[in-house]
Amino acid sequence: MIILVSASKKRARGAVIFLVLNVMAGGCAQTNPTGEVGAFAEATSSYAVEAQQAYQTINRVTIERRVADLATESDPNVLGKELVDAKTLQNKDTLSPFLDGVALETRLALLSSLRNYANALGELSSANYKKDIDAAAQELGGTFQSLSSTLAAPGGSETPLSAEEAGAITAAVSAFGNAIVEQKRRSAIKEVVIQYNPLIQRTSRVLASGEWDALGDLQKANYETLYVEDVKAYQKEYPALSNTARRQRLRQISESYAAVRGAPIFFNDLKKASAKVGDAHQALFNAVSSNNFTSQDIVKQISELGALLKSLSAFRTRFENQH
Amino acid sequence: MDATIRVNLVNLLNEFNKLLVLTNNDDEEAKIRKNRRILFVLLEEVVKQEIDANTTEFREAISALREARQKVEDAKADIGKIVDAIRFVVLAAKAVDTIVRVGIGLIA
Repeated sequence: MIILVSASKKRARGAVIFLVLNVMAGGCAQTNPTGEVGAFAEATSSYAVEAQQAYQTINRVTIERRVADLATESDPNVLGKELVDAKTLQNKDTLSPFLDGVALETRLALLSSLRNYANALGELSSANYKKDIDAAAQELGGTFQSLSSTLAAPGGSETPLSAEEAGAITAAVSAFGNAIVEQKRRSAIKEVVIQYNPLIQRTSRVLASGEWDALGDLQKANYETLYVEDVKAYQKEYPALSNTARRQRLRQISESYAAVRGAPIFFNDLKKASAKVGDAHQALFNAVSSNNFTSQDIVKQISELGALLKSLSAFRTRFENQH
Repeated sequence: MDATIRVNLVNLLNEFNKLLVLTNNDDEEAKIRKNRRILFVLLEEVVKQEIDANTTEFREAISALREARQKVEDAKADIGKIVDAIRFVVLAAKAVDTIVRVGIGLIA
């Protein structure tokens, strides 16, 4: 750098302009990887949250179903036995979560790990270093100008750099820095996506296994039982209800029925979304393997994952406070 | 096998729920609910067994995913070093400027 400052102004200016043009031309030839990688990260992260909440919902609705069943019990001895263990005074099975301990923790941890990976990839693709590089380059230009002024001072051996020349140095360092960052960013994303694609495929397969079918069957039976108990309660109570109260209760029953109908769709969508995370990462893998950071297939897979997430979110939002 | 048992249990539960809606007899209701309770215990057990059988596969993927995340974090930190490198040059140039000033001062 000091050599550059000490060189003749003409040569320095020419070299700097040449470098800036070269670096800028190289940088412009590449597309920014932020878009599709970021979209994948966001969709995968949302999927992980929906799946985690699904486990919690199964626990909540299973307990609600057991409680609804117990509410129909008229024998006080049975009631007591179902609620409290007489020896330990702890909750009996009625109030215990369906999934807990290692089974639940492992699933939540896997989804958190998947989410963390996706978020880290998203941050890598979108982290903005330009501001820092430009600020550092600006400071460097100013420092060189100061240094050249020092060298040009009485007793010194140089003529000071003009503001224009200091600006050219700033632009060159800035352009170089940003180009290197983009190159490194692309290289890192490519390496990570290629290296960990088999892992993401395996994770996606594990998550898309028949487990959601099993949990979906349980949840549908839970919702169906809650719906039937709502109907039974209405059958017994309607003579004492006003017309307005009856309509309100029937609306509630209608919502219960909607949950029964929606549960299999929800779990089917969850299963499809689990597989779609793998498909989207595979599309990303195919693209980066040929040095591209975008493709029609990535857009398609992420769009389909997005549609599934929208459906999952709509069901969860509608029924999360029910029962 | 598990899936067949599970589906049959769910179908049976569905039939008991239909019967429950149709009857108005308290004793019959109590019997239906008792049977339904037993079927739910069995269903929960079957689903739990299926879940437990998969848990090992889930666990194996966790540490590998954590490693993947760390790799991405390391790459990000590595890119940040470019900014650090430019800042280092700034510091070096400032130091040179200071030394030159001192040197010129001594000569003058």
